[in-house]
Amino acid sequence: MAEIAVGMPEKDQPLQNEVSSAKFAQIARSQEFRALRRAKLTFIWPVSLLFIVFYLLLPLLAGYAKPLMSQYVVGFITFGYAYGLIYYLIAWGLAFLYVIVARRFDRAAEKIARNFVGRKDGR
Amino acid sequence: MKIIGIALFFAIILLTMYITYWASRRVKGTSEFYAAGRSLTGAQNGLAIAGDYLSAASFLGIAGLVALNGYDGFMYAVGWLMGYIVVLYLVAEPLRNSGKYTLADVLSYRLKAVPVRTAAAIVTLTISVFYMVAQMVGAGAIIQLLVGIPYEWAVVFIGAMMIIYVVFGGMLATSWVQIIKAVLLMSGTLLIVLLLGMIFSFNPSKLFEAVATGQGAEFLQPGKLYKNPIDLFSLGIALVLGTAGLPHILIRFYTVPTAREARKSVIWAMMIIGIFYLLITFVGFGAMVLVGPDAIRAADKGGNMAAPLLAEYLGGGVGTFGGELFMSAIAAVSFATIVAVVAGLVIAASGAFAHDIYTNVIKKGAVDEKKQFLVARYTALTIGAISIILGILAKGQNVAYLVALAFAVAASANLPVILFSLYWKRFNTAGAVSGMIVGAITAVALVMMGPSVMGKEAIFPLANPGVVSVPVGFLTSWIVTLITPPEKTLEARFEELSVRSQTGIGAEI
Repeated sequence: MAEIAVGMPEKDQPLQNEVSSAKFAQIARSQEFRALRRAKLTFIWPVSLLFIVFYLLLPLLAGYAKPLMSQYVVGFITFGYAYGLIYYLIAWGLAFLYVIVARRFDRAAEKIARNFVGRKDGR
Repeated sequence: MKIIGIALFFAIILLTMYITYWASRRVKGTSEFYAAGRSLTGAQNGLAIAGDYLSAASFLGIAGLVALNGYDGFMYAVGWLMGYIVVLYLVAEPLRNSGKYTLADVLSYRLKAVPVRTAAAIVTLTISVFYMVAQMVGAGAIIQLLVGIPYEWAVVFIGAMMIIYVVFGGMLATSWVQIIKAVLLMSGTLLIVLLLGMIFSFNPSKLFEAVATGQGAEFLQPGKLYKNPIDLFSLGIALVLGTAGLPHILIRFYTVPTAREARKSVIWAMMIIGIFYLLITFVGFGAMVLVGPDAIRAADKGGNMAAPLLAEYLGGGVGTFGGELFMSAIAAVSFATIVAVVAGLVIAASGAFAHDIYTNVIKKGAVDEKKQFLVARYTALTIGAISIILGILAKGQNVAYLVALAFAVAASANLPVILFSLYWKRFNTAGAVSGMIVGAITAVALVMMGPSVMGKEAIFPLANPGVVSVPVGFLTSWIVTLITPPEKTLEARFEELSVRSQTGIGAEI
């Protein structure tokens, strides 16, 4: 076990690109990258966390709000079924929202790659 | 039944073998073997993810759950799509941008490589083996039911098929087997639902009316299957957080050329998987109304025959040509479903051993490409053989809980470490290793002490460990990181990982 506790990240694995560590450090410090990272994180984390909490309401409602879930809303379609259906729509909606917002991030990332590495895709 | 069934089975076998032959001439090294040469498009990979994810447990199992329990089966189905939001928002693109073949590639980029690779490989192997045993046992039983060959032969046969796909065709053949399976599975399910729709004039309310009047309104209400809401909540946690920690799903993002294609693949996968789970609940309700719970139970206690029996009914009924044809077609689709999923699991497990443990931990990367490729294929062969043996040993055991356990381990051991590695600068090796080990052990131990294994004498009251093991996994990673010294020298590597994962600069081609 002794030698397992030591060791460094794998520097020896050659990266397929020639972007140096110094270059990465320079990008990491740059205003553009910091702005991109902040914009990304303040979008992806709140949406994901809210969605997880929202999803977990379903088993709780099924367990503790049986009368509500058993109510018919349209014909023989119960509230519980319609409510479950909404999850599919929200999940798909969030997926498309992500695609739209991510285009903005893509543009910012391309700009950073062009400015610092000289190639659009940075590879 | 037998003649049509066997003909359809042979058609699928011939098609997949041809694909494997085609792929074997293109798989020349580890990049093709693990990542299909990063040659798939987003749409292709999306189909393959659906093919990797939708197991026989989803198709036959959930149809059966709905057919026997109604609403609770539907609610169970909802959870399987929801985890993809976490995959899409937090994991898929950063992973594609910063890894090579396995999950451990990302962790070892910024943490001490040897310990995190070892721990991550052990967790990946654990998840893959649980998942695989569940698939093999289910597969053996289902093939036995559908085709009438003995259980042991069914397991050996499926095992042999997946070994051939993986050893000769690598990820390239596996991906195409999964794509074909996704198309077959969706077509079969759509056809059942179309025929069902013609009976109920495409109005779900009419189908539900038949459920309420024929079987009882309680089948439209929660509580038939799940008596303990906390258990259900616990399962929900494992499903919504576990998907983003499943190794065989995560490695699929290495098969596309860019993060943008990885994003497209999740969108495609979410469309297909979502539509599938919506449809499969109709299949279940349809089987309940048209075939009846008693007939379904008579064919298989667990309800696994609900979908094939409904197909038989819709095709014209027992003994008719149409009925036999449709039922055989569904049986053949189930077979394709099983082999596609197990092949994906074998690749994930092979990467964990051959790429992580052998190449990077034991040999410290000092292995030439040819040797790595050879070891990867021998590992796949060995893992395939082990899964056949485990499948035979577990005959007759109720192992359905192993899939839920695999999700719980993924959510408790993998996800915390993936998220902290990608997004938390202060995170360190001690936190990662302890989080993975404690998270995995907690999930497994709680299931061992729970009602799935111990029955009525269970020490832990819940069948699903997620509500305890997921917080334990996150907290262990977090607390151990805070009480151990920061790895100052590695913080530059975090910044580097952050740039790579968020911009795609320097991503593996």
